[in-house]
Amino acid sequence: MNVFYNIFTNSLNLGLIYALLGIGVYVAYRVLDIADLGAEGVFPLGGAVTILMIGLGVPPVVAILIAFVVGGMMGFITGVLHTKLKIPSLLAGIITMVMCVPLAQLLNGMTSSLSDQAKIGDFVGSITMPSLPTIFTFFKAFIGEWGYIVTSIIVIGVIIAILYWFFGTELGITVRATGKNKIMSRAQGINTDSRVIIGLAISNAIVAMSGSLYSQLMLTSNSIFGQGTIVIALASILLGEAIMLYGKPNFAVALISVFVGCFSYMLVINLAMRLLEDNGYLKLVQAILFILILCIPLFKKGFKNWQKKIKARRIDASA
Amino acid sequence: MKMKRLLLTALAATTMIASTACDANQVQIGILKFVNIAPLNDAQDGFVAALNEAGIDYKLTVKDANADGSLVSSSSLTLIGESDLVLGIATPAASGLLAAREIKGNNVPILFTAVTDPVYSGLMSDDENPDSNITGTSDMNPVREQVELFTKLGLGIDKIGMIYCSAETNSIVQKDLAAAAATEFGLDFVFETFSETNQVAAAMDSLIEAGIDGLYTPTDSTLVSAYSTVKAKADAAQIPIIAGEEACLKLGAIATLSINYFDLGKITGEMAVEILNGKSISELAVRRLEDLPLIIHVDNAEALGIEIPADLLAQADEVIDN
Amino acid sequence: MLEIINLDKTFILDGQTANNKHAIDRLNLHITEGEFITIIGSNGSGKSTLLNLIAGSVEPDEGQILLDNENIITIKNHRRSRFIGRVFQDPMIGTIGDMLVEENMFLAHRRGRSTTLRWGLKRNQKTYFEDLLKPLGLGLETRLGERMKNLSGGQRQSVTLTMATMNNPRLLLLDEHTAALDPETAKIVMHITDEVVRKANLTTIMVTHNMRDAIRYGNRLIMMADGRIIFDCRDEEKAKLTVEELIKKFSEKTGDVLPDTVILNK
Repeated sequence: MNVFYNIFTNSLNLGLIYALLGIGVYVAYRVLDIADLGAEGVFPLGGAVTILMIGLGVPPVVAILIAFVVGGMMGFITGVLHTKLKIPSLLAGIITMVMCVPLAQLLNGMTSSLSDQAKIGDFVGSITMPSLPTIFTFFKAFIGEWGYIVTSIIVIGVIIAILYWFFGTELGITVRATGKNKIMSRAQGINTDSRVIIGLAISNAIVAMSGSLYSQLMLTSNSIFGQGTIVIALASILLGEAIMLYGKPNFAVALISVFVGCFSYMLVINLAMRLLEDNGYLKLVQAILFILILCIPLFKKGFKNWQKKIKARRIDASA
Repeated sequence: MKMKRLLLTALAATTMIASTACDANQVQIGILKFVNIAPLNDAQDGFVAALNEAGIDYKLTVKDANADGSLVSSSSLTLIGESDLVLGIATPAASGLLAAREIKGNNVPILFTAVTDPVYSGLMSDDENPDSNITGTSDMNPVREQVELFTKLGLGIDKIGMIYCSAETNSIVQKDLAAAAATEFGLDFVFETFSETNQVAAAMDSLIEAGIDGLYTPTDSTLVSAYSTVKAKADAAQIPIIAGEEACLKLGAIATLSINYFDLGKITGEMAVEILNGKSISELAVRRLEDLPLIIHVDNAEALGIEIPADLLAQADEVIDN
Repeated sequence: MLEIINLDKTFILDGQTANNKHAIDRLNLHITEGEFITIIGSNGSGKSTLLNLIAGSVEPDEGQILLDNENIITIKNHRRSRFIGRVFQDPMIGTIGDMLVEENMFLAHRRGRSTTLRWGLKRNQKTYFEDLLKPLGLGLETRLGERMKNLSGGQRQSVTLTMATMNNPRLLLLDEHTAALDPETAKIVMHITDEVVRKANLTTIMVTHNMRDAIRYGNRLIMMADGRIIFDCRDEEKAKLTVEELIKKFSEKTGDVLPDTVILNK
């Protein structure tokens, strides 16, 4: 029983935090139709900013907001690189990602200097602060482990509500239009460049927020922990769509489906981790899982065709 | 969709059955290894050897995080939730376990190994008096003595360089120690860092351009994975390498005062045994290896046209000469 | 009100000057307010390029485009959209299939105004959109809450037309907007177009492959070839034209024969 409970809570805990990452990536990937790899750098940068801020005595909630703003600035940069300097979006995202890692390490160095372990200007890869007050501290005092989960749910809920509102405003609708059809949008007088920049800023801000939550969960800022996050985000988005999206439900449901996908993905990984003797195979399992997720639309189609065949046979037989 | 749920339930059931099939008296020991490389594997083997020698009845779960952040967090949560004692091999693993314990809110003792400076890394505040139910062994290599070796080679080396991965906290500590040692022994000191292995070649070029005549490589797992590049560049400029760890000798360095990771892991295992037998963690200060053997790789030296002075050879505890 | 002076545009295809396409060749055109111009010509005559230049999605190499004496060449295409309405040939480009009909219309509605953070789709706008769609006679006013892609090609073009004319544009550009529709639907859309243009007295330029339509609709006809205007007639002279005459005119002016696609389209 203990094992099953742990699998559930662990997947939920991490699933919520990575789901926020997935939602951030969703804004770029699905709404704007841009594959922004910058997330892999912005995620740890959000963590570095947060740990530094809290280390300086800033309340955790404010630290998260600062991380949000920093992420937004990174998204702004990616947007400008892409729209004004005409750099392909893939490369623009990579440039931002590459910039973020040393930035995060500089921030870590500053955090380190607070305890005289390093000087300002040093690049420090990772720093742990075990007695850090975090956004989780409040609810944790009442309900322990579930405090983390409740806090994350609140944060995600707030973000989903804000996104739902934003994309229903005039500005938000023009951003959505830009992602769907740039030509038509420009024909409707929309400055698509500015919309792309706004969309990417929002996307990266949310990713940074997710990195902030992660660093508060793990009490660590580690500049290389952004690696592999894009895969988790995309897997969550695709798996969520496969599980939940019949037809095209509204925006809020689409965002919640990202969480469903992430939670399911974490569950499977957790289970695989326990069944496998050697974690080395885990990466292989992740890759195969990713392929299966991508093939789900194919399976669905094949299943439907098979159902039709069965129906046709029945009709023939009864005729 | 139904198939998927069915599959998940079946998997869960199997897992439950598999894991409940264990002895209630067995000690559940969890090991989280940050990445699968030789020094960390040796430490793990040493740890297990100590447990075996003490005759502990244990069930071991080992997780390898593959240097992946999401695996560090999920593995940490898994192990902390289901073990009586955990070992974190390398700093990210140890800090992951520490955070996981905060989340789970239990009191599982945490041991670490292959962590260079646990206080610097933030794992504990006082390595002499562990006060937060965490302790372990440090693989701080004798940087000072290793740098001193440059002066004992009889080559008139007066400028040494150091290369390391900027993401590795342990390496920064070693850099500061190396700089201090260089000053002590009257050597000029320069260093270059990289954040990804494809930048190693460029970093080496910078060092060689700066005119170094000796290279010091610290214990740095990322650097080790790119060692062939380092060696190639150093060879081309005829620069001898003094390494921070023994594994680098067969990769091309000529000498080191070695940390034997197996021994280090064994000491950690002995600490685990003491804890399992009732000793309080607060009485177990962080331990290090003493009396590190000097190992000289004569073959690598000869390939560079270097003849090791006889008195240095005499001091060596181990000589590799084929 | 629209003055095109010495407009010139060459497309560089692959670096070899011989393969450059001289799309618009020192073109001059004066359009007065309220004119409904139809443009015909073979493929590659520059008709679509002319529209693209006016709309701003392509920049000219030389020349000026003056709208009410203001040179609009420096105005970016999304800004020009505020006073220029466009309907494209492909019903898919003119609207966003995944979004609702009312959301599409909303985008057209706010064209030319500054964007705020107020909630996008308001109650009173819905009634306004319904009133705009009712006169089309296609029952679209009841389908505002549906996704655009549920509508047929002809229905989408009708909505696009409504969207293009919603905010009283100074200029309406129609780029073969019925070419992708079946003959029945094309007829209906053309009829709607004519009504909309006449009711609002919109200055309109319509590029078409269909010579019958070119003659029948509008009060001025322009024929283009090789980036130049080779024939231009209006009012009574235009009303008296026949398709055979047009074909003959074309051969006279260019020494070429009109390609089959154009002839068959009558």
